[in-house]
Amino acid sequence: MSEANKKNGFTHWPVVTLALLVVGIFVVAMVTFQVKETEYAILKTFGKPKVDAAGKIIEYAPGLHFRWPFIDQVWRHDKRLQCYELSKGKHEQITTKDQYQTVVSTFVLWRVGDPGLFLRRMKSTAEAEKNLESVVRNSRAEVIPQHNFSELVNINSSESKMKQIEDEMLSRIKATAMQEYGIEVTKLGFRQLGFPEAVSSKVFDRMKAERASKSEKYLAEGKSEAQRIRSEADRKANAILAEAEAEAKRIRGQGDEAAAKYYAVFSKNPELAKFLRSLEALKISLGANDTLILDTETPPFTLFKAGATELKGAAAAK
Amino acid sequence: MNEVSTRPRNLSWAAMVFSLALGFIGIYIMNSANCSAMIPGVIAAFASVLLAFLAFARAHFAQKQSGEERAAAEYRKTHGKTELFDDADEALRMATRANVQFVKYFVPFFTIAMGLLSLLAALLTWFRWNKMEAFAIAPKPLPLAILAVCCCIATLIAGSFFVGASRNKGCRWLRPSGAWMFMTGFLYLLSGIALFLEYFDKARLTIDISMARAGMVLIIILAIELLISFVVEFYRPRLPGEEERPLPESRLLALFTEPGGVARNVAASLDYQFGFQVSEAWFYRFLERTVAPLFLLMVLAFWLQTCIVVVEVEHNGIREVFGKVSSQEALLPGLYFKWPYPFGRIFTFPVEHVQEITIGGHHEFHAGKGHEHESYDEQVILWDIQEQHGDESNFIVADEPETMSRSKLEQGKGEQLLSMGVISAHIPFYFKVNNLYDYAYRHENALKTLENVATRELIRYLAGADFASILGAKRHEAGVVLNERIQEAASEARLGIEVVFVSLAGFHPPPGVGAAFDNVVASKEMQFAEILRAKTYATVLEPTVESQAVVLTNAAEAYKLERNQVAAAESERFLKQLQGFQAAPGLFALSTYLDVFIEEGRHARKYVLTGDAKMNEVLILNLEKKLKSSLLDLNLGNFQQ
Repeated sequence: MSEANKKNGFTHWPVVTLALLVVGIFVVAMVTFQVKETEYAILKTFGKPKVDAAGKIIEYAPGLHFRWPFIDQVWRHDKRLQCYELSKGKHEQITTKDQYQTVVSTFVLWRVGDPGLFLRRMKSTAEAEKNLESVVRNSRAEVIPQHNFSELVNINSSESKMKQIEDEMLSRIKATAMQEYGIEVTKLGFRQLGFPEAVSSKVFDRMKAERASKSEKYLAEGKSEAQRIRSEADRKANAILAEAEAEAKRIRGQGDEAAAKYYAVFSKNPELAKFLRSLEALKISLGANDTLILDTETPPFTLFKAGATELKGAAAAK
Repeated sequence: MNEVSTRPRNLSWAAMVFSLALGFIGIYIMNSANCSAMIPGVIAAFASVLLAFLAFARAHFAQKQSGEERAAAEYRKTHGKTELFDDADEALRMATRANVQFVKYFVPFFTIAMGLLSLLAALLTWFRWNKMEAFAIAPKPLPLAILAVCCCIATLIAGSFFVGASRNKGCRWLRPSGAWMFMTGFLYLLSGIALFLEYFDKARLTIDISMARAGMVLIIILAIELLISFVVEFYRPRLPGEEERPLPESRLLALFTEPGGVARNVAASLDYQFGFQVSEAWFYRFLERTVAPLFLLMVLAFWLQTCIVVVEVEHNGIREVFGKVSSQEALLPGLYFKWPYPFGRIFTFPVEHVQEITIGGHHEFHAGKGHEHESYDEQVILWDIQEQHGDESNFIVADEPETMSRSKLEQGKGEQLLSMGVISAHIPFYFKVNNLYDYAYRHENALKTLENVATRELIRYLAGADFASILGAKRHEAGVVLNERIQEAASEARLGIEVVFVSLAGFHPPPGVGAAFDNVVASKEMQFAEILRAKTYATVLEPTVESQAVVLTNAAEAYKLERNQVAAAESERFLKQLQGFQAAPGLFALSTYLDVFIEEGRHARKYVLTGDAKMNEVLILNLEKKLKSSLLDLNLGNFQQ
């Protein structure tokens, strides 16, 4: 190598280094693959999964692994638990054993249980969930109609069997999902339990009626209590008045009794007494607007009679 | 080749047609694939069309000028040189003057107009993107991605050709158009990548707009450069014999389209702008030598920087080497070293941060009529106002049979005891992460799982709880129980969280039923009011009656006293009267009578029937009441007196 070439090589060392680095990275990327902690990885050689001596598909643990470039392909899938809420029939109407119409939706937690089987039978997560959906819906439709609604909703918690129902559904799903699709379902739960719209509105009406009944009860109780208080008060008032009346009469009687003692004096001349009482009565009964029709026989109008002014004493005096 | 050649014009035509076709293909891809990333590419393509048009116009004027000059030279050759001819020649050189004026006036105007137009289009599109909530996904991205990449390759080839051709004499003005073709090609490549990624389902929802924004930033930069070029052109020193450089030519694009590397292009641009050989200066040569190693060093330093990770106070971290977790034990806050990216990473998460999940639908406030100006905080939240409760979920809740004796009714029919109601709920519950490995590595979407697990626990709890109790006195107890149950379920599912608090403030009867609950309370109040009114009646009645009783007894006492005393007085008086009577019986009686008559009868109206009236005569007396006194009865004569 000439001096000039050496100089040129030295001058371009950054470019050369960079190029080597890029090529190195490229080569390493071609012959290795990284498996994340959250992944399953299987190596496929010309589409065929690699197996161990026992014929079992090799699952690669998290870390860096070797592969043949262009020959080996890496198949990966998330190994974490996936939460799937059913999309189709998310809220599905199901009849219970006692003919209650309910709307139920569920969720499941799943992950790939058998990567080999999953790889063979499923193309993608979306396809896996689609298949899982059918299994879950089927199990839901089979299990719930075997139970009364009171086994789902019951104020007596010892009679509620919601957990058993969930477990029953889960056990059915588990077997099918693992055997047919290589999917491990770890948990199933209700995420919605309700009524169809028509039933809901009637339940609301019933709840309103219950409240209305309670309202009316309160109102009636109020009126009743008010009437009781009023009548009690009236009773007490009447009693007080009656007692007072009686007392008043007694007092008046005492007055009358005392007065009667004095009336004995009138017996000395009853005629005069009558006359004087009559005059008293006349005095009280005569008023300013009264009209009296009198004749000349009534004093002092006897004076209107002819010769009334001629007194006997005057004639005698003449 | 001389400037009379039609090659520059033809090449300009070709560039214009090519760019125009490219622009229309871009529009087709943009519309068919809902590809926002193609918009900057289309803008660049039409910018290339305009620049090709400018090159065409410049070539046209140059050709005219050249023809004019050649004609003038031939004329001189045949007619000889005279002073008179020289003057006439100057006056008649219209094409030369047109060419000069084109470069002097039209080109600057064109440059600033193109800069403003590009900037305006880019900004308007940017703002439109900001207002959009979602971007449509391409229905069939693969064929359009291939078309975009093919266009990119064709454009790069065409750009290379036109930039290369611009080095020929008279074709200099083709270079801006060629450079913008490079730009168009690059932007089409971005669109193609976006469409490919959409096809392979990688960052499907975000890749298109991300590429679009990146491309639009480049357009904005180039538009601003055009405006700056317009300004700095005034201050550029003009040197005789220098190569004319088109004003709209981008120096930034030239860094990538011109041969000789970035450094040489920068030097050429600086030399042109400052009018002297900046590239010959020592400092510039030093920079040219050291910039590449410095840049590499910076990149290396930047890469090595990824070895250092600071786990913040509220965070925990998990160390990974080649994707494998080194230890499930979380790294506590502090400084850590790791393998550089992409060999190792430390995943950090704010575990101490309290997060919130709402069970039972997203609680969103919708202002009702008349509340447009009131914020959520200023509102009184009522059970029966639908707008205040957003899209809450209804849950079935068990109910203690109450007034209707529903259970008895159903038992009578041989059915099972069953009573339930419906309750609306939005229950925010708060949690923090207590096991980062479980939270981040065991569940694909821990939040979604947690929400479902919590919802399930709520459903199970409500299915066995008493409606009235959880609305009333046992709400706190319900919160405690739910807290425990959710924690238990989350631990069972290994979610790695700790429930901090479950808020049951959002339990209420469904809207529409809430009014009935209000009515119960109203009825209770009415009941109390009715009872209080009755008590008031009783309270008032008792003293009233007691006073009446006192009046009665007092009246009786008065009567008694009166009777006693009056009787005594009367008897005493009677004895006196008897004495008078005994003294003159007739006269006493008459006198007493007349006294009464005078005293009490003087105001009475009297009719006296005299003794002359015959007893068989009928007397008609007007016994109508005497009219009451009025003004008419006044005796005014007496009054006057």
